[in-house]
Amino acid sequence: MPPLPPVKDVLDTLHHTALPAAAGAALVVCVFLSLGRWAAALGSALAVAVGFGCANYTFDALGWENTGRVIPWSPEPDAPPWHGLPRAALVLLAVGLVSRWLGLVAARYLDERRRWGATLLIWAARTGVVAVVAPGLVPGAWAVEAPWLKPALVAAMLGLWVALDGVARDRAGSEVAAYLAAAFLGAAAVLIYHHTARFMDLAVMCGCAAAGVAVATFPTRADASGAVPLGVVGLPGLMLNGRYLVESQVPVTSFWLVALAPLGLLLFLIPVVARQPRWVVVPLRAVLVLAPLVAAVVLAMQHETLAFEEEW
Amino acid sequence: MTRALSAVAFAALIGTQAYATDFPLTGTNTKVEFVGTKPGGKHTGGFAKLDGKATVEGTDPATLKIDVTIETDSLYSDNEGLTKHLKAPDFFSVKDYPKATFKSTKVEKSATGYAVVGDLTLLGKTKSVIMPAAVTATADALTLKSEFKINRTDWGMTFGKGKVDDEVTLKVSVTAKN
Repeated sequence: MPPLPPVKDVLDTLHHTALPAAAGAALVVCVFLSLGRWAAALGSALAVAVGFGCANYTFDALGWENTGRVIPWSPEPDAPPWHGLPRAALVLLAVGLVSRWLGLVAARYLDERRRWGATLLIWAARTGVVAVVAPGLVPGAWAVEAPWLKPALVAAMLGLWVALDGVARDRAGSEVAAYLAAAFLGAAAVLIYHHTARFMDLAVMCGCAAAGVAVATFPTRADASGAVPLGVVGLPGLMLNGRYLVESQVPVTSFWLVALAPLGLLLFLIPVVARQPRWVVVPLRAVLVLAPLVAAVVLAMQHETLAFEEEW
Repeated sequence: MTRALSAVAFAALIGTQAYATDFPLTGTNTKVEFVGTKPGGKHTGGFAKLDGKATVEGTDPATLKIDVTIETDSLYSDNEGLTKHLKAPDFFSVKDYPKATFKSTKVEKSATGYAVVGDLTLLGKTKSVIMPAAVTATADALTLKSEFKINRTDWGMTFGKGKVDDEVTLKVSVTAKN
C-alpha cells in the first residue's frame, strides 16, 4: 500500500482544485439545462471551460495579467507547448460546437440519401482544426527526434474525438463525461507517481470539471457531447508533455494507456456492437475505458514511489 | 609643432585610460547558490554549470560588467528528491528553459560596497534585479560576494504558493583570475 498524501495536501487540492472545477462546471450545466435540453451541448462545453477556469484562477496574483494559478491563460511568445493546452482546448470546444450546428443546418437541407454530407462537413472541420492545433502541442526536441509524433498525435486526437463523440450522441452524454473524469483522474494518479504536481493538478482540474458535467447531466440524460474536446486535447496533451518534461521510472506504457484509454469506445461505432442491449453495452464500455486506466496506475505504482514535499 | 603637441596629448590620454580585463566565469570559479524556505524548514542548492565573463576596466569595480549564462539542468540541492522536483515544471522546468542568464546593466557605489544592477532571465522572463555586492578587482583577479533576495513569483514561478515561501535568497561568489 503506497503512503497516503499528507492531509494538508489533500485538503489543499480539494479546496483549490477539485471543488472549484466540479462546482463551477455543474453550476453552468444546471443554468443551461434550465433553458431546455437543447442547450445542454453548449452548456457542457462552457461548463468544462468555466470549471477549469475557476480552478486555475488565483486571487493571490501580483497583477491582473498573472492570474493563472497552475498554467498561464494564454501562452507567451516562445512559451513551451504545454502552455498552449488551454487555448487548444478552447479552440476545439468552439469548433466542436460550431461544426455540430453546421452539420445540423446542412442535414436539414439535404435529402435522406445525402445526409452523409452533413457528417462529412462536421468531421472535415474537426479534422482540419486538429491538424492545425495538435502539432503545436508536441515538445520541440521530440518533434525533431521523432517526426512521426506530430501525425501520431493528430491521429490519436481524432480517434479520441470520434470514439467519445459517437458514444456521447448515443444518449450517453453523462456516461462519456464520467469516462473523461475517470481518465483524467487516472492521469492524475500516473502523474503524481511521475513527480509532477503541476501536471497532476491540471489533470485533477480537467477530471473534476468533467465530473461536474457528468453529475449535472445524469438525472436528465442530457447531451454532454460538447465537453468531449476537453478530453481530446487534455489527455494526450498532458501525458505527452508530462512524460517529456520530467524524468522518472514510470514506464512509457502508463502514459500511452491513459492518453488513449477512451479509444476502446471505437468498438461501439460498429453497428452490430452498438445495437446490443444496454445492459451489455454500458458495462462493456465502462470496462473498455477503465481497464487501461487501472493497468496504467498499477504499472506506475510498480515502478515508482510516491514522494511528498514533507519528505524533504 | 602642432603635430608634436597633438601626439603628446594623445599619448597622455591613452596613458590615463584604463585597459579592460576579461575574467572568464565558470562553474568552478563562480558559485550561484540559493536558499529556499518554507514554514518550518529550508533547503540549499545551486547550479554547477555556468559560462560567461566579467569585465573590469583597470581596477575600478564600478566599471564591472557581467554576462553569464547558467545551465539550469545542472541544478543541485541538499535532497535528491527535491532536486528532481525543482527541475520539473513545478519550479525551474529545465527542459523548457535550459538556460538562465544574468547581464549587468550598471554598477553603482553604495554605502556598503557596490550595487550591481542587471537583468535576470528565468523561465523565459526578464526582470531587473539589484545585487548588493562586495567587489574587489586587481589586474589579474576579481572577487565578488553577494547575498540578496528575489521573489520567485516575479518570474512566474508560482507553484507551491503558501507551501514554499515566495522569497528566495541568492548567494553569488566569484573568485576569478584572467
